[in-house]
Amino acid sequence: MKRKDDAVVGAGDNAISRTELLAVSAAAGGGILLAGAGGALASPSKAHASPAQGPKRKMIGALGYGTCPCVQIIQVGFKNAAELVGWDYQGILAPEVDQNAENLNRTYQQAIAAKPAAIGGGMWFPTAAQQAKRAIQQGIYFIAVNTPDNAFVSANHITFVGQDLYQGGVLAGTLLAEQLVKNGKKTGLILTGNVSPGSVPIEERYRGIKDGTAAFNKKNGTQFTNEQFPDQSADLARSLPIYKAKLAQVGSKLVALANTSTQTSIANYKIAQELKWKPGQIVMGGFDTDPVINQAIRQGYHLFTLDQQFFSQGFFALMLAWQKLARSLNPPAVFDTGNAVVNKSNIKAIDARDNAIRSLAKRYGIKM
Amino acid sequence: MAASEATVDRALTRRVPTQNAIARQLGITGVALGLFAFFSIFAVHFFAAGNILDVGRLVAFTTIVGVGMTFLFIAGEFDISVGSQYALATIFMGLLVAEHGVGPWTAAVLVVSAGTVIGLCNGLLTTFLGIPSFIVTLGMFSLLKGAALVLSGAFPITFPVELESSFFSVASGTVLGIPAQVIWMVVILVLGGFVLRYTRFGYHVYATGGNVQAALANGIPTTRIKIYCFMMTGAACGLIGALQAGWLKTVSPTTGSGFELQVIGAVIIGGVALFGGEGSVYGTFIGAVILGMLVNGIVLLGVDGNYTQIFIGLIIIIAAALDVLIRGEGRLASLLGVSADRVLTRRRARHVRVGSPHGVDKEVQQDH
Repeated sequence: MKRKDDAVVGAGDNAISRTELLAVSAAAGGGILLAGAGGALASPSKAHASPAQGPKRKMIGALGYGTCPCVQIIQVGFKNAAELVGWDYQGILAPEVDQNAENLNRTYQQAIAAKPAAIGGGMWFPTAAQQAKRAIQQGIYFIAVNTPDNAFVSANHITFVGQDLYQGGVLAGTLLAEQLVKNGKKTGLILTGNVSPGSVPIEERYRGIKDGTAAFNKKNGTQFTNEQFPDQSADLARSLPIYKAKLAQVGSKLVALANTSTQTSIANYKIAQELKWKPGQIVMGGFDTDPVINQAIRQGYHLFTLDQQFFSQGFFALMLAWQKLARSLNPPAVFDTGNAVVNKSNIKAIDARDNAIRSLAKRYGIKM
Repeated sequence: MAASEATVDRALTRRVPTQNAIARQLGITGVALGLFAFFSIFAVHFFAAGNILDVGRLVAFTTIVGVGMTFLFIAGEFDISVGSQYALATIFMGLLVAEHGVGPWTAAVLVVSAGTVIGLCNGLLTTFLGIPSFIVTLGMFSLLKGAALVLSGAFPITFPVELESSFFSVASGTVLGIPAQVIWMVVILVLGGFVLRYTRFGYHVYATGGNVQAALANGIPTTRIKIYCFMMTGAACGLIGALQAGWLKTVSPTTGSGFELQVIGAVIIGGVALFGGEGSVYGTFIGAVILGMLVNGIVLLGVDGNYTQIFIGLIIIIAAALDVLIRGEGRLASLLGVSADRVLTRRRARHVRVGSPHGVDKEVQQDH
């Protein structure tokens, strides 16, 4: 299986490889930064749209899930791109902890009512497609951010900017199984906590983990199994006793914890500390970077995390909308922000990057 | 005037458990013992000291806030913002310790004080402005949750790894193998039970919720009593916020998601009257234990964790039905021949036979 820098993780013919993505990102980012530098030097506090940039427009991020740290980083990306091209950006979030179709729908409705030029929307629940359709019917340019509704985006030629969730799961399952074999294991349970049952990205990642594990078993003659359970990891104090009960129930079968969200990843780290596991005793890995997850990687509790590069999701969503509306340049069907493998070898670079994003966030008044 | 005296008498006699209250507490204790026996037989690992202590830890925070909520319910009010208060308390603690370098002990005192002030606000808005507590605390639910998100930027906050404090042992250590959270719960239970059962304040709480007019007529400062109950609930939320932060050393604004339902569920299952005047701290504790055993036992049985919510919902409905049945109200009571009217008729007949009509009236008043 090709992976890391060369894996093709996008969907269908329009997918781009991670190497291409990095090249495109570097070129786009560098070009944008150079283009923006002049304006920034002339007016460091406020960028103005030049004739080449087209008229000033507004883009709204209908991002629903306001309690997820990822959304704040996506917003920094949006803001940064908006500043560079002289657009306005507004984020509409839902403050509820529970991520559900209703509160996501509400953010879409509010976004459409504001009649922006473009909307970047997370499609965490299938109902988002109806709202996206409404936006398009009203002449609003729509880009799917972070999570797509695959059937809807392909049927309506919508651009998706984000991680290939399923392939990320496949990669996570494979990496965990590889490490287990290195540790001398051939059988055992790979357990996955689920912070939000029914949520598309969580379920897609788990589907990928299961398929990745099954494919690895077939190829290598191993017999690893998968199981998922609701871990209530949004509330750690409640989640840890649930984890302890679950671990008691599965007993010695447990060989790995695969996580599918930031919250579950943090809960896995905390349960490892709570049970005084040695780093690496139970193989752990999954998704997203975060100060706590990064710490777990530095300490060796988490073998890896797959970084979907949230900043790029906001940044490129706005840049692609700007390209389309200001220059009539059609964006690709999928702009994959990757499943970059973060582990002990590159965690320092990730920390430095996160610090840079934090500085930008501070400038935009986004608390991180 | 005679009627007024009767209602005063009725309100004040709530302090002494009525036959109904005793029957309800026995019933709910029976349910708890039945569940305990069931899970001990069928769920491997359930009947183990470590697991029982884990159940204790699972219910500790619910019970601590449940004690405050019991006072509030008995006084005829309630607070649905406890989950948000808990979230804000953890974030406040995290910010003070991790970002402002405040010592954990000082921060804990400040957090409990802040919780008390939030309770004071709830109490003042409810009593002085006359806004129903449901509406006030619904508003606070959103306001405080939003504040937790804004203050944290939706990101978890982690204490510095090198930070050490005796507060961490008090929040997360063990005494003779018993987790600190369980010890805190027992202390609060004993204290709350004593205050409610044996002090003038507890007497006034029952009187306020039993019949506020009658209590006022007897010179009981019902407004102040209600405010104190709100403050106790707020302080309890502050306390668990500080304890959670000291235990996990990581705080998140998603903490307390659905916590209000756990607390209110425990109080209702525990037999505290929805409209005030009746209930006990013991009942709330048993209610919390039932919920905790369900969560833990279902996981240990290996049943899909999503079933937990179904069982919790069923138990709440059964507890409420039991409450109505014991009161002799509703169609079920009529069908079973235990409706209040029939009981009254039977008692009248009995007392007529022994020639004590006054005793009939007194007994009926106390039972309702």
